[in-house]
Amino acid sequence: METDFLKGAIADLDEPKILQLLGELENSESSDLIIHDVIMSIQEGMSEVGNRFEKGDYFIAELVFAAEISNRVMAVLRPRIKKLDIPKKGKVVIGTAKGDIHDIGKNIVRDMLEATGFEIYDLGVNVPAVKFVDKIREVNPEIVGISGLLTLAIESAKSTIEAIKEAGLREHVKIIIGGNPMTKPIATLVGADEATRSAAEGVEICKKWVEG
Amino acid sequence: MEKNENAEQLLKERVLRLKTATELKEPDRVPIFFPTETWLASYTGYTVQEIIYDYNKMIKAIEKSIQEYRWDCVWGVGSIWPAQIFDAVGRLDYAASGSAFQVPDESYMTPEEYPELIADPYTFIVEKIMPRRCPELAKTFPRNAIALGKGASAFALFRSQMGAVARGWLQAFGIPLLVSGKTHPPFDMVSYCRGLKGLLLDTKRHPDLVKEACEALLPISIKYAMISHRVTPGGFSTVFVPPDAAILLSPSSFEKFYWPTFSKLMEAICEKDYNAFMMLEGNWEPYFDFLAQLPKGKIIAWMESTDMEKAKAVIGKTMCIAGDIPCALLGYGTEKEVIQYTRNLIDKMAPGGGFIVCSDKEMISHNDAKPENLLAVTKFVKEYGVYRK
Repeated sequence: METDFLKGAIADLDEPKILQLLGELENSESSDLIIHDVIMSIQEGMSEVGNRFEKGDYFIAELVFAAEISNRVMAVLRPRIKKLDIPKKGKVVIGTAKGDIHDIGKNIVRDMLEATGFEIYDLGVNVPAVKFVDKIREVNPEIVGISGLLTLAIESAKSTIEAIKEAGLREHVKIIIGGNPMTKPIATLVGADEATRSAAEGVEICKKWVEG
Repeated sequence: MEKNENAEQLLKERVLRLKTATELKEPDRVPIFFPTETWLASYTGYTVQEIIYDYNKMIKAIEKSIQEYRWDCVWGVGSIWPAQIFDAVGRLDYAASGSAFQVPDESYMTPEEYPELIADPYTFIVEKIMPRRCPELAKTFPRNAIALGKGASAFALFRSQMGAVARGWLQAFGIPLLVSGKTHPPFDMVSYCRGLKGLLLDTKRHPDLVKEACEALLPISIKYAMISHRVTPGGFSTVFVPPDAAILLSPSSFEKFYWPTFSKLMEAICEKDYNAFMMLEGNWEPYFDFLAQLPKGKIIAWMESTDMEKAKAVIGKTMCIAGDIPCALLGYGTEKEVIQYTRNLIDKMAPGGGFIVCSDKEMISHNDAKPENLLAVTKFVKEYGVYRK
């Protein structure tokens, strides 16, 4: 199988071609090596999608489509990945802050992170601080992502990070806040390590954190 | 309600100020207002629940802000949706968070249903979408009819009460109601049926159906504006248009899917000699060339995170620019910082006219502005924003 071809197809959001490749993958006894190459191709393809977004060639509609396509591919690959025991880039606990129910941005980041090789724990929307704290205790992630579209999410992100501090977990995690109101000064205000208004930039920040 | 002595004179001045700015000229000074939504609850010491269920509390809250700040207009009474309407039909948009009006992104139709939507959008929305969106309307007769009746009468009552209240403000305080009608561009209306995520995917998978669906919804989108807009004699009012989904599309997709019907909607509003207030959230710079083609001197473009100077340079000859003191600054900054920002904003934007000062976002949460910052910035604009002849 042409895995380079897959990388290009993901970057170009060529869904018919990707589905065809996926069909071939399902119907053949592909070796672990091929699966490994496929996963790498998806990661590189998604990275190119992020580049094109940063350059202004792609907009949110393209990110939503890329996330949808990678989701379909990952659904097929997930069982194989588990068996393969490919090392994960890291664990991310992600959710939309309490009081906010917007999740399109959070879901794009979630799917792009998964396609990039992260293990994701998605807590959903309107997530109370205690749910973040419990999940961090349970899975011990490297990264916590708090999303929000409304300005009220700023206060929720602040109280969530305070709760993480009180639980003695702040030193163990990097925290990124994401969404329209989440600017760098707001990151300082709420006690997060980083803030982004761009899904693609958010993924890059997470990659940098775990890759050092 | 305590009447302003010179209400009549104030009204004349305010209306002329807003009208002149909208017509891209210099008024006596830069107009100022703040789009206060559920922020009014914390400001008056109410809970959000109290003001969305009790119109009298909402009215009191708005009146308190009118008297304290003396801006050039009231934002709009329909921006705080009465919860009874939603309760009647079983929508949980308020209940979801308990803090602000939010609509979950869900799909209420499959892509296979586009032909049905396109053939007869009104019937499809009433008979298919509404029952799927509103659980009470999906119940068997007569419960669905009772729910619809309850919702419709709550809405009618709200509109008639608020209309009278707004006319009262006009006379007693000399303050016009800025937003007194609304509509949504056809592409956004399709998203309310198909879900935003679903619709964005459809632009890739079923482009022709999306285009046809927008065309099919255009007459409803125009009619929505015409039916909802009430022009108050002696006032200054606008039709509120939030082109929400536009900036999710690349400029080439925008041109294909959004612009054809959006431009026709805006032309229809302006042809009727109405003014429009467009809420342009996000960065609109990639779409400036389109906006510059809209009718001149009729539209106010409210900017959220667009470069204001560039906006003035490119679309400032077409539409009045409003914005963009950040709520983050109003809520977390000092008076000094807010005034510094506003001084710079007026220096860049005021020359030549066609500019209104307001915040970058609708104020929904208590942290969107400290009352003392609003007082300071209002006082500042009334002094510093005067055009010298």
